[in-house]
Amino acid sequence: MHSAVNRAQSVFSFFTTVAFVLAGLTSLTVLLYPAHDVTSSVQLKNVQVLKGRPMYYSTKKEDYAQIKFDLDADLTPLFNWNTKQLFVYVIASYSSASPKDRETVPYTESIIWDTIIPAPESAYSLTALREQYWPAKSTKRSTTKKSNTKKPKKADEPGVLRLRNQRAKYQITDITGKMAERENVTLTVGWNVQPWVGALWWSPGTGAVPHTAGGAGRSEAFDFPALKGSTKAATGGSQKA
Amino acid sequence: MDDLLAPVQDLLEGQIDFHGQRITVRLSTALLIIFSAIGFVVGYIQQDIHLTLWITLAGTLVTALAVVPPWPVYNSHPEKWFTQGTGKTNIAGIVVDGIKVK
Repeated sequence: MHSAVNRAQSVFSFFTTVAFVLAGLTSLTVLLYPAHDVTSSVQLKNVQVLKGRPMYYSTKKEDYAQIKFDLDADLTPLFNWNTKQLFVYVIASYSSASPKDRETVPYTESIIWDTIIPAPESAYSLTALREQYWPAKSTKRSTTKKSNTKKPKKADEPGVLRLRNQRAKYQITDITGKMAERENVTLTVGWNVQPWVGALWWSPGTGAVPHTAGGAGRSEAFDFPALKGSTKAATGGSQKA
Repeated sequence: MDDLLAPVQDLLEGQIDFHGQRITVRLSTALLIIFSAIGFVVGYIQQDIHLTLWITLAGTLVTALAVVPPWPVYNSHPEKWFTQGTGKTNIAGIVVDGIKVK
């Protein structure tokens, strides 16, 4: 501590230690928000299996399953002070093994739909502060807009999803190229909580650690229809072809 | 040239006395811990991690400003060195390894 450079170094050095401890404590506070109240459910609406090519120049033809589903989810408890954004997805899982190997071979899981829900913009984030104190020259109206972005009320907290007859983002196939008449397919809701600092949290039921509490919705089992056919799944229940 | 550079060098080095060094060590440790603790509590209560970030960064800046420059407080207990020629080595004697040296 005898010279200025020496003191600057030791202040910065101890700052890194403090920042590390702070980050550790912050990531541990997530344990105080286990999010038991998370609810989600997914139901099959419609499924079609069509033949298609993986890309324009491909000569190989594969089956593609196009799924429509209903999704209801209240994921608001997953947003705490350390949540940056939420990645929500719907998985179609089925066994691609022959009946005798069904016990040992893990199920095939494909994401058919996903979305990113960012946490509400903080009034103290870098962009918000820059907007407030160094506004861009042309945005004169930003000062009036700023005043009503103070504390987000419960009503406009993100995380409530209500999808009706939602078309899947991704048509799925697998390495065999055969999707028609596959049995025992289920849709599952899953999520990843991406924090500002700390570990990535998974949804329960994925088997990943660490995972949050709450209910990860799972549809009833259904079967993929025959090729090019379309089956209405009125209640999302299981149907035999 | 040395006469010109010496004050500049002193300014950049910013040396402080031993008493000042003890103060700066304790002050920097205490300030950093206190500011980060305040940042953590405020951020947790307000449920906004950005507050924790800004309070801790501002606290680090304040600590650096308080500690890095050689403020006069840190030089208020100068060491009383013997000036050259005042030492009465003939009377006191300096003993090194049992042998009296001049």
